[in-house]
Parts: sequence; C-alpha cells; structure tokens
Amino acid sequence: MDTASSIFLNGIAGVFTGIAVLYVMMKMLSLVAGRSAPGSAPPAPKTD
Amino acid sequence: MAFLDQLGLLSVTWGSVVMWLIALTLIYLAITKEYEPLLLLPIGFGILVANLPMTDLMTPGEGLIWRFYHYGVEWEVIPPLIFLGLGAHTDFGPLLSQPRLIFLGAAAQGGVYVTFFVAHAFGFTLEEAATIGIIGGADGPTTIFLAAQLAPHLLGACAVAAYSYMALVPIIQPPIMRLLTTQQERAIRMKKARTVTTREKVIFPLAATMVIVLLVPASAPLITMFMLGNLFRESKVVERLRDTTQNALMNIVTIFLGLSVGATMSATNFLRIDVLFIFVLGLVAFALSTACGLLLAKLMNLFTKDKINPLVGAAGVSAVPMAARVVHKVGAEANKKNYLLMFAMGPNLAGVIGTVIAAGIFLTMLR
Repeated sequence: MDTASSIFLNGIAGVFTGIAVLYVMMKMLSLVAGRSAPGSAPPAPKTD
Repeated sequence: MAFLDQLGLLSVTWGSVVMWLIALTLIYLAITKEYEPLLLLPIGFGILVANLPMTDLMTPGEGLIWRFYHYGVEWEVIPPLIFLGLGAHTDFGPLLSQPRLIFLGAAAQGGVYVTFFVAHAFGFTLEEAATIGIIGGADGPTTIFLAAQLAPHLLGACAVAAYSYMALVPIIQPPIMRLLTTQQERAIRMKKARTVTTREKVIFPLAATMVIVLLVPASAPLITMFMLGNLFRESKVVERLRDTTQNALMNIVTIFLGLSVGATMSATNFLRIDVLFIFVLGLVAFALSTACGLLLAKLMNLFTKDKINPLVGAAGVSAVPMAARVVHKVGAEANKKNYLLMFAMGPNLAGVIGTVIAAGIFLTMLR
C-alpha cells in the first residue's frame, strides 16, 4: 500500500506539475506570438 | 470420421455462447443506437470471431488477428497512430485562448488516481489498478496503450469499459453536473475568449511536445504523434499528409484496433468476477473525474474575477467532443443565451493531454 500511496501522490503531483508548466508555456506563447504582427493586416482592395 | 472430430460445433461451450451474446449486443448498440460505432462494431465482431471454437485466430505466432494484435497493439504502433489522426483533427484554439482552463483537464485526472488507489485496495495488482484507473480519463487509445504494457489480460475489458462510458457520457455526466452545481452557477456566461493567432497554433505543438516529453518521457509515443498530427493541420503546408492522417490512416488503424481488442476477449479472459469489478470501478473513475473537474472550476471561481461556468470542468475528462457537447447542452438548459461549447473544448483537450501525462507517470513508475 506504501507503493500505491507513493504512485498516487507522485501521479497527482506529476500531472499538475506538467499541466502548470504547459500553462506557463501557453502564457509565454500568447505574449510572444499572440498578437498579429504590425502591418500584417490585409491590404486594402484595389479600386481601379 | 476425422471430419466430425474437427467440427467446431462440438467445441462450443457456455462461455462461448455468453461471449457471442455480448458481441451481438455491442454490434446491436453500435448499429441501432450508434454508440461509438467506429470502435464498438469491430470490437463486437472481434469478440464474436475470437469465441468461435477452433479458429486459431488468436493463436500466438499463427493467428491472423493475433498478428494484428501483436504487431499493432503490443508493439505500441496503433494507439500512437490513432493519436496522429486525433492531432490532425484537433484545434487547440479554444485552449490557447483561455489557458487557465487547462487546469480543469488536470483536475479530472483525480478520478484516475483515486480509482487506482481503490482498485489496489480491492486486491488488484498495481499494474492492474493503474489500467483500471486510466478508464476515468475516458480516452480509449490511452487506455489500450497503457493496458497493453501493464496488464494485457485486462486490455479487452478496459477498452470496452472506456469506449462504453465514452458513449454514455450524455447519460452519466448530467446528473453529476446537476448534483454539484447550483442553477445560478450553471447559468454563468463566460467572457468572450480572445482570438488566437496562426503563429501560436503552429508553435504550440512544437513547444508542447518538448515540454511534455522533457517532463514525462514515457508519454512520448502518444504525445509526439498527437502533436505531429496537429502540426500537419496548423502548418497548412502538408494538406495531403493532414488529409491522410485525419481520414484514411485513422480509419485503417481503427479497423485493426477494434478487431484485435475485441479478439482479446475470450470467454476465459472475460467471464470472471474481476471483470465485473473493472466495469464498476471504471464507472467510479469516470464519475470521479467528472466531479473533480467541476469542483476545481468552483474553487477557481473563488479566486478569479472572470467567473468560469463550473460545468466546463466536467469536460476535463477526454471524451472529445462528446463531453463538451454535453456541457453545452446542460449549460443551455440553465441559460438559453449560454454558448459553452467552445469554452468546454479547452478543458476537453486539456483532458486528453492530462490523461496522456497520467499514463506516462504510471508507466514510469510501474514498468
């Protein structure tokens, strides 16, 4: 049962750690790549 | 009369007949009720033919379906290929637009670990208990992937339990949702999510692969294929590969997966009291995972300004996209203006990632 407790605790901690790191990565990603680059808006349609 | 001695009919046992009935029930449910038909139909057929006497279809080294099983499932080929196709189907936009919802996918793994602990207390070995617990993640390929490595004798029962509960999401989850939330909570309208850029969607599978594999290397076969499929989708430069993985390849491997998983369910493997326990514990795992997701969403609401509708926590179990659809339906019942589908897809995808991480941790500690 000791091993089971160890797997239980490590498992819960491991999943939350993994997800927390992914969360940080996603937040950084949104800062770095989350905004459209300046001037990337589509050009105005030609009128002629 | 050598021919008469070889009649299969003379070798039929009561166990075989019971398995035929189970097989025909699954086939019936797949065809008439459309319960996960892509999987339950070949699984049902696999059960049927594996329990016809003297066919040798599952004889090690000789049988046709045994070869599918051995090279496809035991060699860890088919579940990762299914994940490749899933990745090509997946849009991570809803998750990237609301990163905080990823924690709901982690919470839903609580059911996996609690059930693991309970199953072990009931006398299952650690490996068997881990395989039963992962049913709570409601992710068929991950359940099969883990079972093939830790408890192959339980593979058929666990796979059928996982796919059955995935099909029964609309029946199992709503009562738990209503029990753990108030009408007011179910009516919460969430703030509109921001638009996610193409660049974020392209970088995400690369960055997520590195992060997850560096933390839990044992999850690599599933997560790398999942993210590769997603990169095919988001890069938009390999449309042929995306189309093949999303459709043709996924359909082909689904046939062999279903057939070989079904064929592992011989009467001697399946008609045992512990299999009944597996189905009960699998249901417990699934219900607990749903509850854990809901409760974490409620907890997060105590600390956040932009309230989360706690129903989206229930989508933290994988079961993509069925769980998200059920969340949307229950939310709309409470508030007709509520449109929760896209919000629920975030935890739903987080649940897939969370279940893969949970399986990787089990493999790391038990293999």
